[in-house]
Amino acid sequence: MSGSKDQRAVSGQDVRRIAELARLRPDQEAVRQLTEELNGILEHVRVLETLDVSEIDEEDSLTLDPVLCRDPKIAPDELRGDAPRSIAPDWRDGFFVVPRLPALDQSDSSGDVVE
Amino acid sequence: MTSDPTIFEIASRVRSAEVAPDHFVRESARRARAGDTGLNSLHAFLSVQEDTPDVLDGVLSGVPVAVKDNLCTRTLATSCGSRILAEYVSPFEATVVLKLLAAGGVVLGKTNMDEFAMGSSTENSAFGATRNPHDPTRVPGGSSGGSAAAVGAGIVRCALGSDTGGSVRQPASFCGVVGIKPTYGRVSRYGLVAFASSLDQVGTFGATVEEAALLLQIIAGQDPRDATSSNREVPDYLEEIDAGVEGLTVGVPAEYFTEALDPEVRQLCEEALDRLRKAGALIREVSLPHTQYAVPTYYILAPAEASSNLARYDGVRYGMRAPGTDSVAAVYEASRTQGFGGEIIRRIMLGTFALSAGYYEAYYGRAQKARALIARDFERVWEGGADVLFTPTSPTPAFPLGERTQDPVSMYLSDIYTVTANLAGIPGISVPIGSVGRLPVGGQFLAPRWEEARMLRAARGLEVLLGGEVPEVGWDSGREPSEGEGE
Repeated sequence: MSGSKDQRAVSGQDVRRIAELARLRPDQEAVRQLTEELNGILEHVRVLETLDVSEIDEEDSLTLDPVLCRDPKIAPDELRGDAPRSIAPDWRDGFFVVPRLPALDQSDSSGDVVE
Repeated sequence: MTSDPTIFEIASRVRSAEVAPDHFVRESARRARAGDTGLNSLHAFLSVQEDTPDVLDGVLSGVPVAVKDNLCTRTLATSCGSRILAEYVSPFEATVVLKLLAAGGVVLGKTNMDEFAMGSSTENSAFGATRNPHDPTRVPGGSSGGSAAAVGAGIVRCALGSDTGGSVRQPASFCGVVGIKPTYGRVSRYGLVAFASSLDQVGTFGATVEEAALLLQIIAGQDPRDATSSNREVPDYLEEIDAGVEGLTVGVPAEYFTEALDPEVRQLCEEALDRLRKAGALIREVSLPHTQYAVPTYYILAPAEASSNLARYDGVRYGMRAPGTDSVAAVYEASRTQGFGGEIIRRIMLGTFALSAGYYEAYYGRAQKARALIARDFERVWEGGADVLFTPTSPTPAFPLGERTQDPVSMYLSDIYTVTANLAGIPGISVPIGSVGRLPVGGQFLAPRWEEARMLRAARGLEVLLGGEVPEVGWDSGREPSEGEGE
């Protein structure tokens, strides 16, 4: 982020790095478009830089009621045990079975079971 | 249409066995299907079912309710308007849906929405846009556009939606219906697919204030499955709803009446305020000085939370998986890139950026503090003696389909009067106050946290004062497309 108005907040390289962090893979045209759009939005957001937030400390920003705790009692959970079998596309030994990755066929891994 | 029975009348006729338990459900299903056929189809629903009520002596017995597609249901898919969750069927019901069923209500179907509730026009749905029932060339608002259009078209009398930045109130305004966003914590979020967890709240739509209020009454209250739901007692929202506006102090925030406001919408707001004044309300100008920071604050915080909440859609645990990938990272990237629409990717990117090392304090940290200042503005106004506030719901009536899809910031600005309530956690309601041409316009009441009853009393008061001067709900009134328009 920069204080000068003509400098863009994010570059194409930044956008590719953010996409990597977000587990997205935009193509070259999408990177160009996202760079433009994110800079447009961040330009609009820049007004926050002018805001005096000195009177607010970290605790002040938590204005909502405290989160309530549940009673520490164990209740029956319909999704525990073998119950999810009824909604699972495939089910083995208490686990959902998901499609196997081709890469695993090249290793000696014996399972294709993912929780 | 106004001759249609209210939900009070529907439930009464079902309870007394005057009609079959599924009588009104079948009629609504017929209208839903009729609305979704032909040129300029409404496209309010993603699915429709004809079910019979579980309970025949409830307050909602036999009442068909349209449910936004981000509320989990066991019998119908919950796609959130997204390709990545197309065909996804939840193994459990959302708490609000369970409460609806326990009161005798019937889920008529799931309604179209902006993907993952991100949008203000219902054009971001992977399944196509919903149209405005009053003018098929215009948007119904969003993100709960399908629910608002279903009520506005007279298919159902009430519906459920969700409101993260105005997603119930803004479409209610555009479709000429009533839309309530309750206080944060008033209604359980269990089974509401998360977008921005500190802002999301389930809300209700009704053809009238009383009907939206009854639906809120049914879904409100603490839920052990949502730790942010409040254990405060839920008052009887209908008890004093007809007490009128006499003696109420109505604050009018100057910052909501700037040049951004359409002059005709401003005129309708001023006429509504005049009615309130003549009926004995005290109208007082107030100031919410941090209003201009609300949209920028929202568009940092909501995408930041969304980028975290939507990390779970990775092609493994839910929904679609991109074919032809050979590593876990590639599955994640390909499934997400192919499964998410453009607005989702934009917001995930924005949120990831705002939370990333080196930028966190400048964006996310600063926006959190701005949020506190915005909430404090409201506290000061309540302390200053305002009982409720009155504002426009959106700066303009419904805009044409396609007008803002290429310009994210202009789309975001249609939420300028609604995001503040989500940031401050307070309740808000949009109620019809008239129309510009045939396009409905809504006015918004805001109230202190947990003061829904007071807010509903003000909204019902205005509804009575304006009786008959607002557009009727009903698909027929908007069936004809504008000249030169078509599919």
